[in-house]
Amino acid sequence: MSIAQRMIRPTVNATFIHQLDARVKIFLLLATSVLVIFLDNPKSLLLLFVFVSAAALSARLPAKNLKILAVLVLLAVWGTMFSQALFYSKLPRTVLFVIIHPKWPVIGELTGGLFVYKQGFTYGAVQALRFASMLTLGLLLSWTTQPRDLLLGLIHFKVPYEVSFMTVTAVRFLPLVMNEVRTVLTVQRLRGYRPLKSSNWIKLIRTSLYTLKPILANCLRRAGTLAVSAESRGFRVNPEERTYWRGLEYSYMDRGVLWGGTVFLVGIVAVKVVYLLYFNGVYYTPFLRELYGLAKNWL
Amino acid sequence: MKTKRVWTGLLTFLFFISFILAGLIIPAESPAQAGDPVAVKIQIPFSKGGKQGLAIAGSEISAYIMVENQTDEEQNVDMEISLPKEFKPVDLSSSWKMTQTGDSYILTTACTLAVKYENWFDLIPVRISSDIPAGEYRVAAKVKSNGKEQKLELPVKLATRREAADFVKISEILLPTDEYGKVDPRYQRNTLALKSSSSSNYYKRVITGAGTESTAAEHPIAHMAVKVANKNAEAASLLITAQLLNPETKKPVAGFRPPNAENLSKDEQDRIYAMVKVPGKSETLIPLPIYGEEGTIPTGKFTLRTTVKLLGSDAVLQVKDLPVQVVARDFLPAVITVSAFVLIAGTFGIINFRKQAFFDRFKTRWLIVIALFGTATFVTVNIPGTILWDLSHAIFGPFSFLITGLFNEIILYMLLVSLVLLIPQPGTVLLATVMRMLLSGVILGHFSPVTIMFYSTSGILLEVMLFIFGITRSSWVSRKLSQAGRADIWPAALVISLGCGLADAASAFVNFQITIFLYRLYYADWYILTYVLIDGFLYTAIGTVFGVLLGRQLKKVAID
Repeated sequence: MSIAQRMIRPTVNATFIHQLDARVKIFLLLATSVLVIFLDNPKSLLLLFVFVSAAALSARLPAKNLKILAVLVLLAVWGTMFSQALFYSKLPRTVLFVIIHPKWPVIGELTGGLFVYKQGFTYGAVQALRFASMLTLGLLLSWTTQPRDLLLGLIHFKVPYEVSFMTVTAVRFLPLVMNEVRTVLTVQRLRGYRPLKSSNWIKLIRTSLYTLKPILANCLRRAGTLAVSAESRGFRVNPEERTYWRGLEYSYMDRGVLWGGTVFLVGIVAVKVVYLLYFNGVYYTPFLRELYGLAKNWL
Repeated sequence: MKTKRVWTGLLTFLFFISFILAGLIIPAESPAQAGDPVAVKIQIPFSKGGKQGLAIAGSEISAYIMVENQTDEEQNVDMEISLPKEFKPVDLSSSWKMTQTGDSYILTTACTLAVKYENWFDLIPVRISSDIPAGEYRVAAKVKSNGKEQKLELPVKLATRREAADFVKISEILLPTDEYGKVDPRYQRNTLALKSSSSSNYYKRVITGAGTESTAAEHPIAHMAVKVANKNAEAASLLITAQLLNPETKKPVAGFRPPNAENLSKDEQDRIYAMVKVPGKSETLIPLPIYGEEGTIPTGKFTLRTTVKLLGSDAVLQVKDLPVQVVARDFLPAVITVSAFVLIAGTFGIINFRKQAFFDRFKTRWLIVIALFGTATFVTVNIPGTILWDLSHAIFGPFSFLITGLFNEIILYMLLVSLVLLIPQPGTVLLATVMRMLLSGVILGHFSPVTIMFYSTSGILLEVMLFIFGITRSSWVSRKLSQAGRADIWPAALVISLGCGLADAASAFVNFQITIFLYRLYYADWYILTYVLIDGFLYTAIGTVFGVLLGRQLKKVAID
């Protein structure tokens, strides 16, 4: 199985994470994405990442999936550290080495110099924890949930029926299109297509054009057949009163996680908002001093 | 009744006029003793409020000498000042002559005071020996004017540096405070919030009626207060200075300077200062205004160095460092993020409100084509992007877009534009973008407000541009693209390239601002510009041209 195939294929297991309702998982993912925006404190960001990683480990995912996850997280963290080391603008900052000297003609004057700052690495590592948490939780969601359950969850979140149908179609044809891409790429390689070795990028784009053409032509042909098939089975006849063969039901565990997550998220956001109002001089009351302290030291 | 009111008004007017005239005619109290033709004032060291100050051994002080004519006649004044030998005058102006006798320096000068209240003054720098014991020293002065002589003897109290430092201590530095030095608990302690000097701030000030003058340059961004305790029985005249320093290099930070700093000497341009008199046996709160401007002062952690000197002396009594944080409230990313949110919410709100009408324009076959193109885009752009982007980012850092953009942007726009050519309807691009977003969420778990904003902004802006440039409505561009032969489509292809390039450049810029605001990342302006121009505009425009070719070829595969 290729990396791409492994990335998109969910696992089947009887762990707590696998058994959670898809809607709860989507909610947790959205809640975490809000949380990473509101959190600033490195301790809290690290704690969140540790918690999410522990959840990923508890899902008893195959070792190869964990390896992919680890590599992606490391690459994302390093990438952010790298960029922040170059663009860090706070003081103090210590120059480790110079990439573009400010006195170099044209490029030096345009950029004002490009340096690698020691403090930028640390700052980037802290900020990368946001991406790392989101990446881990996102892949955990996709590896522990069947796409059909996620789609039912989306319909529950009032995604229009037509869009849900399109998404189901897209997901169903994903393995097929991937196989087609692989076949076309094999054929192209047999004709000498070496994308990573070619230095002529116009030739590269032209080859991409030839690669895409058969894939898309097949999509178009398939669309005709599918449309007739869908319409003959009553697609769009009465979209408002559609029923579904399979439904999603919350268990006690789902409700507990949902409520717990909601209370936690609302609490954190409320404390942070109160703190930001204080920090920006908009609203202050001595009554909330304990909360200001909590937010300053932990959020 | 009316006449009485006129008389009352007239009498009040006359009373005020008399009062003002009396103030002008009656002379002010002269500091000189009665009968002295000139008033003489000598302060060693110079002090605020004219009281005698404290000098410190081993320091350089300023001796202040002033004479003022108290008569209506011209006064020719000759002065002679005798300083102890441990008080050596330095850098004397040419008007003074100095001779040294056994145990003192004699300074002589002369001046003419032509009219009443005309005065003459000078500050003489005096270096005091460091090995001199503490105690009281005497400075004598003889002033002759028109033959009449005045003799003065002035006690100079001298303390060692340690004694003086024990007398005067900084007990606390408060930041930020109000202009009276009172701590406002609403604001974060030891934090300076910089004000923006952007044009938006200018208009905000105009709208709120706060005036249009430069806030940062002329008005303090905050105030600080220095609490100074004086244990001595006598008042201490002090010079308090505050400097913002780089904590590592200990060099002053640019931009932290008082208004009109260019008029000050170079040493004084990077600090704020206050001359104060602290009464004896008391503690005084000294407020200091802080000036600074965003764009000049970088944000981060700094050292606020407060120095206390005796006024008129270079002797430093105490230096106290306070770690402070400087934060900037850059509103541009916040404004753009909020605007993007409003745009997305508005667009999807309208579509949801007219949901049926929106979807009725799309045949079932078209919806499936969009879905399958979404799959193809996901397979050829999103999945390789997830792996390759991170890998390339790790190797090439922020410049990886130069390489990944060749694949990401060009292939993405080849697919999107070919789809629009097949289904030239408003909403096609938005649906394709929603597909990409949902597939990315369902398959890769990329569900987050930030990714939703990235995709949505890009989709909406592209949709708007395609409509404006006439691709998704009836226009010569859409007609050329669908009907003209290959040789004739280039003008239309260039128009669509321009439209897509502009849309993607705008969405790239918005995405940067969203990332900066929500993920607190830093990017240099030139980097954002390079990215927007190359990845946003150039690569997209190239991909669009190839997309036109692909779309026209695919049209041969029947779709209606």
